[in-house]
Amino acid sequence: MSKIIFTNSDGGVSVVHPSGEVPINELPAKLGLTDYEIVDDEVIPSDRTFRNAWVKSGATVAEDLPKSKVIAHERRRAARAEEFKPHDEVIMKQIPGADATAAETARAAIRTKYATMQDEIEAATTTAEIKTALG
Amino acid sequence: MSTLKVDNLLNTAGNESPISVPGAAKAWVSFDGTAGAVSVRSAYNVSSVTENASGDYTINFTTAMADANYAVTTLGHTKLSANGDQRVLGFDEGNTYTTSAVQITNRYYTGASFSGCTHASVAVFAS
Repeated sequence: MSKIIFTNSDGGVSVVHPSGEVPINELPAKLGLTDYEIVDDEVIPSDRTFRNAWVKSGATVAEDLPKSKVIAHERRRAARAEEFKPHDEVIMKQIPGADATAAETARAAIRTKYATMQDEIEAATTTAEIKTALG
Repeated sequence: MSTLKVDNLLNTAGNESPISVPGAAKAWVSFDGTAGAVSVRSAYNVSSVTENASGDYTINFTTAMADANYAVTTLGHTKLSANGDQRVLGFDEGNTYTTSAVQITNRYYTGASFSGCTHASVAVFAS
């Protein structure tokens, strides 16, 4: 089944998925669309990593590099916070000893790991490179 | 007691949808909002589902509601991570709510970003 793509008010791509009740060629008028494309399913990327960075480029859908980097950094920060959590809990208890030292060492390693990832994301020239950086 | 048996009910214009039966949904849809391309599983009086962004959907009615004072119920489910993220599929501030369409969003329970929804069900009740 085909889809309809158009640029929405946020500059992203909206994808219209017909239910079958109304012929697809009648949908644009029904939805008040003037600038749109009816495309094959294959045009819609199956990789949704950067779904909110999709932009309409003619009758295709592309991933916007700056928007993809913003999304990647959000994911990087979220992942880093998750890895920090168990060590933060140890440090928060402020119990002197081996556990606190090990937690600080682990936190330092995590900081380095994600600082490297941050640099790789910023240096990426394609969204594929960003995905590689995210791991 | 009488028994009413019919194959189809038509409205006064001679159309099947939406018929005016008190208590019956005027529109409903079940769809997958995360697949490679969003797919509508089944629907009634819904012409299409527009995915505006991840977890942000507009349900477009085939035949418009008489007014925008209708009721919407939603049910959504997604479990993408090992810790079982809790999501809420519903109406968010800024979403549109008109006679021809209703916009719903699938948000993390913690209030963070939107996310796709594997099993989304929406039903609309109106007078």
